[in-house]
Amino acid sequence: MGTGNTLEHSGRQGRKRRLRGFQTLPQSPETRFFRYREIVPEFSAFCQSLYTPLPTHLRVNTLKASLTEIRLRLERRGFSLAPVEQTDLVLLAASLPQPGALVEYALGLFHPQGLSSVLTALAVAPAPDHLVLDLCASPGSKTSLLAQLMKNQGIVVANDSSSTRIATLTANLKRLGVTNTIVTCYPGQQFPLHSRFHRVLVDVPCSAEGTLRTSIQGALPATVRTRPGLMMLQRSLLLRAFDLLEPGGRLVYSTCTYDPQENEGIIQFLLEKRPARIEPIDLDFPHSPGLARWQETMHDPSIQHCWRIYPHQLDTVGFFLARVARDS
Amino acid sequence: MLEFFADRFGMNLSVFAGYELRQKASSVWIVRSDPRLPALARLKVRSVGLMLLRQVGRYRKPTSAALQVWGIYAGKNVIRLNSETLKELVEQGEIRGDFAATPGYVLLSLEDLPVGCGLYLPPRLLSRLPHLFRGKKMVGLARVMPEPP
Repeated sequence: MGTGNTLEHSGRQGRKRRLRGFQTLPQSPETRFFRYREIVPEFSAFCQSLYTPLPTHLRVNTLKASLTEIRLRLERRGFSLAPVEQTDLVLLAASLPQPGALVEYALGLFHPQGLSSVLTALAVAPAPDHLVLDLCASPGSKTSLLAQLMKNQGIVVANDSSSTRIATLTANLKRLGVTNTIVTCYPGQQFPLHSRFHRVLVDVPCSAEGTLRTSIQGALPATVRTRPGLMMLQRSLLLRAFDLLEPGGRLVYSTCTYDPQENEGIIQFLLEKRPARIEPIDLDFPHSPGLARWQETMHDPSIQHCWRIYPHQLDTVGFFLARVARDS
Repeated sequence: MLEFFADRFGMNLSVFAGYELRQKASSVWIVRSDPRLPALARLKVRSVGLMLLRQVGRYRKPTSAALQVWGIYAGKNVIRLNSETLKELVEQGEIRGDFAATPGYVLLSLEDLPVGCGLYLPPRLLSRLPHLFRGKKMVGLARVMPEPP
């Protein structure tokens, strides 16, 4: 009798086994992102950039070492490093495919971190005396950079809804020597309202289209994440993030997707529901403006202050950033 | 609690100015002082700041994470290892030698860098470094540490 007959399996496991032979065929970026051809500037250059490997960027942890010190240490071991034009916190490590295997990583002297992730924390612009909330904090790359920008002063509340991911978050904070952080584990959209924050970062779960780029090993990922209710979750996270701001506070909403419905669409929703104001992001990184319209939907003109990061403009993963002010 | 660091490692307690301690069971955390901390205590907090030490039986064991931050202020019970000896300690879990330290927990240092915690029971020096340094990380250690001439 055919014990390997997949028809004998039932339920979720069975469906998985039956479908094993029918894997999703990888789509080319040109096909997958065809619907964005009108909104992505230089669409063919954009598609081409997705075939180039993502560079390794190291964010120097100035809580433990200076940029010069870490650079000298790594160069002494034969790794070539180059500065990044837009920020002195990051080094480009072209010859270092696995930085996590270095003893300097274990010592927390640097953290492998994409430029878009660094940029997001810079856009939050926390001051050392601020009370800051990172609502979806794991794995802690941005949280630890916020702490670094605050010189380990003030308070960063790092929240994540998953206990499993909290373990990764706390391990990174420990390795990087962060001492000004409180870790909590609430569903972000239900984070208690009894405290108000000067800055909130809400880096929401998203379809992650921006991460679809050739890995360092040379393979283009076959699929991107999809999840039912994603936009509902993004809306509720952003509303809660805004409600947690004190008057005069600022929040940064970020995703790693190109999908306007998860980006400008969510910001438009916030503007309709709360007295929010979109602010320009005063940083000097290549970017494209937020979309004034998508298909039949018109957006508030201020949404053009948002940033779309495309990999052919800035050598990192695709990203979206919005800086939102609460005036009252 | 902080006196332990003064007694064992010769640290000036002023290096801990601006921090406060939180204790839960046998673990002690150190966190940057802030007047807003009490208000945040209403949150269900998973962890706060950095774990400083653990009570292990009758002894206090400093964490490697804390020694990496404050180890530069240690004046005694510091065992400086070169990369080859540290690699051997991490790989084997212990090495033997006559080190300038008294029995107990010590600060392991690589060149001038505080690396973490060890336990010196002469002549045995035992690694108490995090797992991050062990297992597959050994590949990295082996690769980055230069071979002796």
